Amino acid sequence: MYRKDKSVQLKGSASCLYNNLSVMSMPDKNVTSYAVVHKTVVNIANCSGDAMNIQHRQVSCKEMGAPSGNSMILQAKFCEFAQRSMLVILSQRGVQMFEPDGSVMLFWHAFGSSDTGQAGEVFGRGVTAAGEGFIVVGTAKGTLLVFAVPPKGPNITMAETLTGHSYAVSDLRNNGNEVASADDSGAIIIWKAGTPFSRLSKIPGSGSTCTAVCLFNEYVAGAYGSGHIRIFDINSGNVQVEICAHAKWIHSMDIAPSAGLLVSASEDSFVRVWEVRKGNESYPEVDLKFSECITDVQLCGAKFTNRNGRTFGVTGYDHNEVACFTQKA
Amino acid sequence: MSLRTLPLLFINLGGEMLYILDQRLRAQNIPGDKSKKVMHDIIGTMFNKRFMDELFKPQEAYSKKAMRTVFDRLAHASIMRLNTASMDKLYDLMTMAFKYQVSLCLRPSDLLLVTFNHMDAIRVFVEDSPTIKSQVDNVYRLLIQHYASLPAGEFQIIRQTLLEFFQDMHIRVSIFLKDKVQNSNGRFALHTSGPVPYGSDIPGTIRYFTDGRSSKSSDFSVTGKYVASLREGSFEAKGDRVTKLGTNMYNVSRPVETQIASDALKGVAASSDVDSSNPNPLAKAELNLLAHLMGNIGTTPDKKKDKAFRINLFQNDDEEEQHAVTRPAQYDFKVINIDFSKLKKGSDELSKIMGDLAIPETGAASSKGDDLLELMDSAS
Repeated sequence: MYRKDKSVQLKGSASCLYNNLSVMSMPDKNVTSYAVVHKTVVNIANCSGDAMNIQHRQVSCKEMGAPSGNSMILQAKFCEFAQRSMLVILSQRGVQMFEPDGSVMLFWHAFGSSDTGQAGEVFGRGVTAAGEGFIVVGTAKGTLLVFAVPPKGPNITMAETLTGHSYAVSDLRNNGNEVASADDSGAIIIWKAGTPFSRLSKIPGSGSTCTAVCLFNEYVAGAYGSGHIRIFDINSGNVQVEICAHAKWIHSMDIAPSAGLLVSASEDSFVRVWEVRKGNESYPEVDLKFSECITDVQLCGAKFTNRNGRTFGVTGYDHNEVACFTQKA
Repeated sequence: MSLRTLPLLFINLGGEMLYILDQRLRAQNIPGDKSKKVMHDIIGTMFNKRFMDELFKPQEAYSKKAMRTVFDRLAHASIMRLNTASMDKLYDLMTMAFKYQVSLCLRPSDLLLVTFNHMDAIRVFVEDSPTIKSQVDNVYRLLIQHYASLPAGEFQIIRQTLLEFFQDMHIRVSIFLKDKVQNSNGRFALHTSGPVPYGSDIPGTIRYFTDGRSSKSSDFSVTGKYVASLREGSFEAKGDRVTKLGTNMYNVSRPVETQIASDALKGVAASSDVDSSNPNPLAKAELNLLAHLMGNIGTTPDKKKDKAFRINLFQNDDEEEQHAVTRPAQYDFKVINIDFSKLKKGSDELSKIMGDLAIPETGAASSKGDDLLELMDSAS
């Protein structure tokens, strides 16, 4: 279904983290931006349409007021709203929000003792835009920090803290006003964005980390460390489909909602694309549409470039490029 | 990220170092009593009870340079000497071996099994010394206490932190190249067949559920032959670890070489290290403790001269010299700036930590400690 396209070179290798690839496409400027975390910096590659011209930038997480070095980054994600876009960076110390080209820092929030995990670990992991003007960030403790973002300007404020997870948060995604959060025990919680946020349901975990979660239509899909992808009905919380998708940990998953396509990337070196469509039964039908092995690379990021799933990119640990795939005509 | 990586990093790197030293001692026909003394001295220092207690406290891992310094000192904790070229090669071998083990772990918790494999071998090395053996047993207890019941998600964070430590290192090791474990470009060969992690399913099945009950299933084809893992390794002080990662690959004696690929050099130079110019006080305090321990070990200088012998990690002295000449620039590192005199007047926090460590300040000991710390200071 897909063929391999020209890869996008990065200025540094990708770190082994969950969902280590964020893509923002600006079709009016004919530019696609790829953001990949490399230790303490985020490497951004801005690609013009034909991938011939690549402009590189690097954004690091300067610790406010602390003289000693930079802290390790766990996630970098482009968060897009109707009026504006931002680059959000989560590190061991806190949350930083930048203009999407990484040029100007708009906001900085340091984690506190209430966000600290049991052994004293502090980090942020999992971030998503939500609704009209919210950004939600997950912490090592399991709390979700909600920030209110105005249509323009740097006046970003902390709106509230959500509790519900007993383990470190691993991923956050949204579908309009609906937000799904996942944690290290495999639990998924569905929320509705608003002032305040309200909790809709919780799907318990079975011990294996849910490394990536995607929302589409009436389903929520989770990718797990056990190599499974499970699709649940949002309203009942019942599992509908379980795919034994990979031989090792799935590190990333993304959805192309208008095409009903899921892409999963795993430590087992494989990237796979699944088609999910409504059949006659209560459960959706799932088919494997594409499978490719990126030899000797442990994959850690997979992202569709746009909602229709025509192209997607994949990153791997210790690997210096984004491997790109385009649908065959 | 994780604050629990340091013990695993230290013990596993130390274990690899002991495997290599053991092999070189035998290859160079060093007399049995001297070999045993070297191994016992190093293991005794590594597993010093007070040092281990400090090591197991939640903290950030040391920087790459600090780790290298620690192992430099550790390798010289006895009557054995290594010149710089051999020390470089020893460190390359240690780090690439552990990187391989961390990368290829089937489950994140297998990291603990890899550590136990190293510990099991270390226990054999010190079988006939009851004091050191009890130090080793103490570390088993610490490992089980801190790691045996960690959930998988936490182990994965530990693993990701370790992988970050080893990121961009692609030094070619001849044993790995020969066994086809590493490609000529320095990357590890990752097989798309073999056992799946214990507790995981073999990919290829899609199961459907109605009202929470299994309904139908379908299959999809998967390239690569995967098999289920039938046995789980033991997380106790004694037991079958099942995994071979972390066992001694030098047991078969063969020449051990490293080649540093030119692109690997560029890679290391380009990517900036996390290394902070002001390492956190806890790391400094522990390095001070280790320095004191080093200073207190071994015989008086005169006796040392008689017994001291040199180990060569290369085939012969000429090769070693050649390597020293072409030594890549990356190893001319600045060591952490530990100024002992400043520490005495220093911050409250540091003084408190030093006080907690309660190192007996005898005249001889502190002067030896000062010398070692001066050695560790960077040349300004």
